[in-house]
Amino acid sequence: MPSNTTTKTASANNEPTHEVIIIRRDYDGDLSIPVITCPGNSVARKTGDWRLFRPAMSERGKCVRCRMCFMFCPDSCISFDPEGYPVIDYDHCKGCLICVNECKPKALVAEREGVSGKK
Amino acid sequence: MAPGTPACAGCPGTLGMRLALKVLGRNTVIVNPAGCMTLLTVYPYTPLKTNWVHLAIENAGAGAAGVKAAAEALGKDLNVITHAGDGATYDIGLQSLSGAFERRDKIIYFCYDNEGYGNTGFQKSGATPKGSITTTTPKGIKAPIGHVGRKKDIFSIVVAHDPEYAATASLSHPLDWMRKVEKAKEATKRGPAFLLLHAPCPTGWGFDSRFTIEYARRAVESGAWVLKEYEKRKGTTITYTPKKRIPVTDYFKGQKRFDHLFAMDEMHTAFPHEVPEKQMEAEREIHTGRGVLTELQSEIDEFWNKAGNQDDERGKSSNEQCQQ
Amino acid sequence: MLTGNSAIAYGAALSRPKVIPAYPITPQTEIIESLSEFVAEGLLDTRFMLMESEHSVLSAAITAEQTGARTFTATSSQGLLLMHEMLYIASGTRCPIVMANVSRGLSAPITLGADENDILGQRDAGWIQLHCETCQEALDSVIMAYKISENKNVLLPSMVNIDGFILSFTREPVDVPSQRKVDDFLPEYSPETMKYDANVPISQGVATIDGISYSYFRMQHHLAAMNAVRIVEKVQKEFNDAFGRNYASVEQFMMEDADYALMTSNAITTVAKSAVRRARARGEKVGLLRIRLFRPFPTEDIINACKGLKGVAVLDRNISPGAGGIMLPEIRSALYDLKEKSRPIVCGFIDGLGGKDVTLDEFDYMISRTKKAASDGVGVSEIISTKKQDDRARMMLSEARGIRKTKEED
Repeated sequence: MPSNTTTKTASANNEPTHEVIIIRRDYDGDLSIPVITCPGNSVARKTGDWRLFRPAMSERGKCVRCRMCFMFCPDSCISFDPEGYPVIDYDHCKGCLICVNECKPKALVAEREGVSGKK
Repeated sequence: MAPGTPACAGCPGTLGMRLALKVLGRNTVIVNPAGCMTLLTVYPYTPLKTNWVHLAIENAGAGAAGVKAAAEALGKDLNVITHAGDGATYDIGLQSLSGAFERRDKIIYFCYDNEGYGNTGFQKSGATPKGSITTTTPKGIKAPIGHVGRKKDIFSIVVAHDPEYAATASLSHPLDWMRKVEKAKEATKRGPAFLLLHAPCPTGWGFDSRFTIEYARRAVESGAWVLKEYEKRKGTTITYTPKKRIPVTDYFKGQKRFDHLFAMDEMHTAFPHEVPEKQMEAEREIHTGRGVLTELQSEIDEFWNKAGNQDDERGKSSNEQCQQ
Repeated sequence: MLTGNSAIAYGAALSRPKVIPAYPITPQTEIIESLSEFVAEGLLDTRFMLMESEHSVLSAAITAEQTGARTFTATSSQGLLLMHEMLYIASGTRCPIVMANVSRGLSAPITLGADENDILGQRDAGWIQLHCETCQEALDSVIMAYKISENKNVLLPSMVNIDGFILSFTREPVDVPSQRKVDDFLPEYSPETMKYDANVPISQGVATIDGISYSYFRMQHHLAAMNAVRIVEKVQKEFNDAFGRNYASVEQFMMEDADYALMTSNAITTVAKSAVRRARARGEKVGLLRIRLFRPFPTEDIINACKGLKGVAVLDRNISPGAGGIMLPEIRSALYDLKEKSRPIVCGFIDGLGGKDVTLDEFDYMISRTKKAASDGVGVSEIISTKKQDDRARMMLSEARGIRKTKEED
């Protein structure tokens, strides 16, 4: 493109910065009904980046595998490894820290995000 | 329920439904009136692995009734449960709830009670207890304690309809909650069921999200939130009695919405010329923060003393425990 | 011989709805009374739900359709207005509900007589609207409405409108079709997506917080409504083939060589047709156009019927205070782009509010006033009545205020 037409600020030459299109669509039939038919697809939202603090296992030995952390997690972010110790889904954990507060043996503790190289 | 919802961190409404769905299973339809829980599903994502529908704010009862009627007409076995906040239940949806229960539609009406209209920023609802600060009941010289009204006793209103089953629950006792969901599910073979879950809301009440369950526990242990159930023809029974009740101040303190009750009459001391002397006297008597807390504690004590004397609660006005 | 309400009840029963939520309101109550009798006698297998308000009626109807069950209900004026919020939700979630509306003037002041303000006020809610002149048409329209609404290229709710008292309680001869014939014409409702199944969980009525997905759905909603124009025609033709009764979205009466047309809708059309016959007997070249389909708006049909006419007299049995009749601007807008020589002068006349009679004399006036307007080249908009009716109004005013004609001392 020749150099004297490349400066496209709206004020300079009043050209639109967005392309405007006329909506001419076909009727999409069944697709046009506002429903979601893919159950549980909210996993695509990585709410893990909400966190300031993350729950982490301080000492495995302290954990008595009572499963109360699993019970109290509002976001279904806790599952268990084959030995029964909690596994936290850090992609989605919002860092509410209910599990830390409710952990009676204090096995789960709060760690600041970004500490010890974790992201 | 899958993770990835935009609900607040530590949200009790979400946790309550998550646990309830473990009991109800996949052939369920959740009917949701407008509220915080509406935003669990935002196009194009949903965390639900079962059916869900959002209607409007005031028709959870009617909407649920419609699903159930259609399911029966089509010969489908579907559990129908609402996911309604206290605003949609105590206030604008009361007519709809009453109609559904009067018709004995076989639905579970699940109300998560966070004592205000949460989704819009926490305004006063019929479930807001006396002394709570909300954005529409702020404190000021003319309104030293915030909300002056009392919490509506929705449980008694529902029990007056003689439902098949009704219960209050709290997330500090999650197995009790799930047991009550199970009983409600069983009861809907014959008639309507009502579940009222106490939902301490970190965002609305002003506390760190890690304490959601802790505050739920304190509400129960202070006797302010009574865990009870009503069964048709059996009456109301209390399902949990705290061995030694903690003072209600332990439950209230640390919540920003109640902080002002604990401060002494700063307002009056600071601006004595703004308020007529007589009014100040009267307010000091009844409407100071100290006054509200004392009043509430004595109501709670009175309720539990009476309850201790008789297990059966039939016919008794259960106003006090809902004052919280 | 059936009343309009009975005709609708029969039409509904023949359509085999699985769920009927109901709430009483004059002048519709007899519809739900008849339906409840059919149910009680075992003639109609349906879940009849007596709700606690009209808002709840429509709420239950929506969720019942969303579960996959064909649903019917009925209401009027204040009830329709109470449902206003849910009307948008019903059409936005694409529920093919059929609802009968028995038109009644709106409070305040409260009245029982018919006018069109209740249903025309819902024109933006995204429903299909069919306006009926006769009891037969009412029965037929309920059945047709299901076929139209449940069409996969439409999936929008419909309202079938009749005038309260004038049609709802007037007996006319009605041919009630057999159940078998109706079953052949109207198959069972079997939705593809919109139903609840444990194996295919769906979330309905989902929030669309961003404007982009909202705009998309609303646009598709509009496209579906536009589809409905030709689907209505198609179903009307199929109905004629099956039952031998022909209905047109814009009915043309004595329009073959007409220069002027009266334009009306609903039951007052019968009186207007008499006026047209009288005018023809006098040698005037007048015809009548009846709007049967109001939403989606049958623009093509209006243009085809009106182009080349010298004048059109639109009767608005409704009013938008501060603006005028509702039908008039819709007609003028549809005809605006016609070339000047084929565009008629369109005059609007507001009359008949709250069930007030519209007499033959008033129709004669409308025709002659439109002729004058056409020769003047300028359309008019007038509120009309008869002197007798106006005198009566003044008399009642005097009575109410205690003013006597012969002044007496207090």
